[in-house]
Amino acid sequence: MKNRQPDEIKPNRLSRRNFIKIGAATGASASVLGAAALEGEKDDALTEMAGQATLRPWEDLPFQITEKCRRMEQKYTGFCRELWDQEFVERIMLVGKKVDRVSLQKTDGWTALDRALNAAGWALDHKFASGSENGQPHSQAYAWDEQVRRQKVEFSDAQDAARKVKKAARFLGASLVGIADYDPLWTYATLVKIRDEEEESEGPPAFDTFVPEFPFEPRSVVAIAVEMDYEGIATSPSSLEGAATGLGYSHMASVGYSVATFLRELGYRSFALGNDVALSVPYAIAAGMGELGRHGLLITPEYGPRVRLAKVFTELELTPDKPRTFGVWEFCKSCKRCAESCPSQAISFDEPTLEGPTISNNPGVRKWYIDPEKCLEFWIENGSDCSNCITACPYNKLDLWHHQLASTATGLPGSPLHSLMARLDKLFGFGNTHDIRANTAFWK
Amino acid sequence: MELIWFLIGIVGMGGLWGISSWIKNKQTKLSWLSWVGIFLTMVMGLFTLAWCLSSIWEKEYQAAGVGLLLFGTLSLVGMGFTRKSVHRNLHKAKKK
Repeated sequence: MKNRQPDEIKPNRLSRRNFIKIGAATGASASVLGAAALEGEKDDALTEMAGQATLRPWEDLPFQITEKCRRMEQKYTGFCRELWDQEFVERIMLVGKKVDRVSLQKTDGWTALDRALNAAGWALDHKFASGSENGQPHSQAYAWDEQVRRQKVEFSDAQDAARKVKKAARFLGASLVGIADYDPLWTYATLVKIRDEEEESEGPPAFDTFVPEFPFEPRSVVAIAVEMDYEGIATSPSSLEGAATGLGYSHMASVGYSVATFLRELGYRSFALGNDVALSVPYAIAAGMGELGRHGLLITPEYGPRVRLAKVFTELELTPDKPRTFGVWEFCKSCKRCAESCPSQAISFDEPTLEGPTISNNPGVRKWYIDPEKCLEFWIENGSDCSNCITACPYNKLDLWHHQLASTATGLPGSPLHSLMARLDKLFGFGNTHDIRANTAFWK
Repeated sequence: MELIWFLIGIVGMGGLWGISSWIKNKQTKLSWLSWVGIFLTMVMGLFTLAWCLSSIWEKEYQAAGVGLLLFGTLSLVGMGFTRKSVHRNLHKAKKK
């Protein structure tokens, strides 16, 4: 989500510019929704799995998908509802009016220094991929129709191709990379595109909906994760945290576009995607990069949920990776730190369900549904996005031996053990949100 | 981080060398229980040290402090039992 500065907000008017700004603020919810549209679970099987060892592969997607699960229409996502759902817009605007932005500007994490870093973090995204963070498809770094080299480079087999593509993706800056088969279920049934109008008018910008027709039939998806800065995210919810998020978006565009270019230079039609066009979390799970957490985000063994996801659709056939588990589902059942730290109570404390509380939730997948409306309301109130759920998650750690050891232990069975581990995590002082010390420590 | 492991290696080797020389000097034989105690105490002590240094390295000072308190206490308790067991062995050797 784009980070809106406190003095930029005009709560009683939703112009094109404000839509983009607010849209930016909904980014996290979009990823959450994406992830959400996904998860679910073969609960018993997973429980059994979690009780065995860590990083075990699955033969199939590790979530229960029922007949109610359909391809989602993009216009129902939080961002896009700002274009047509008057009731929703009025609620958000009401929150915006109540906020005392002057007090925000005086605190650590909101200084001119912090906001300059925020702008710098987002700079590349805004220059080369603006709009993707709020779902606008087929533009700039995420355009579908870039030129392709005519002569194809042949690989010995799909496995060899996958190995080389993954190596290239890491070289180009991906923190994690995996391969999944293309599945139309995770592509929006219809997309939303804001009309290009020269003059800015009152009210929400005009938009069109259309069925996505790619220039080729995608066969494989390269799922890419880029790490976000640990110290930056620790300052959530602040402008500094927004800088870490923005830098993640900038890296997504850079790495995604570079990987797509690599594939096109090999002679295969490919294009990169950010938050737009298709859900990212299902592909990341299918590609074995991690599991879905209570907060609806991907949890990776290496960085926890502190990653941003991009994907590349390609016509090149690549051998897919297998989904894997390392005990997240079981651990999340006992640990509710993300739900406790959520300032808008948007994360569920309850058991997983098959449908969510709003029309922005895509039903039919068994998982913990979040409430994206509440999430977005806090973003507006905060004047920036929020990563409290990422900060508080016990899997959000630096990749060090003692955290790897603890992460391995989460694969052991037993809810009392998991509860104890979540409590110890708190006792050790990890995952504090609204932590002023984190803001001052950042610049030391 | 590599420096931390190097330091822990030095401390571990130093500890082992110290214990083996001390036992040699005393010219006694330790029971299996004492050896297990020495081993576990050393592992716990080194774990505490590694935890603290790693936490300080990642600027998580509360984690370093609580770790020192929690794991350090466990090490001390282990050390107490081991000391008792070793002294019992020495006492028996003296009697002989």
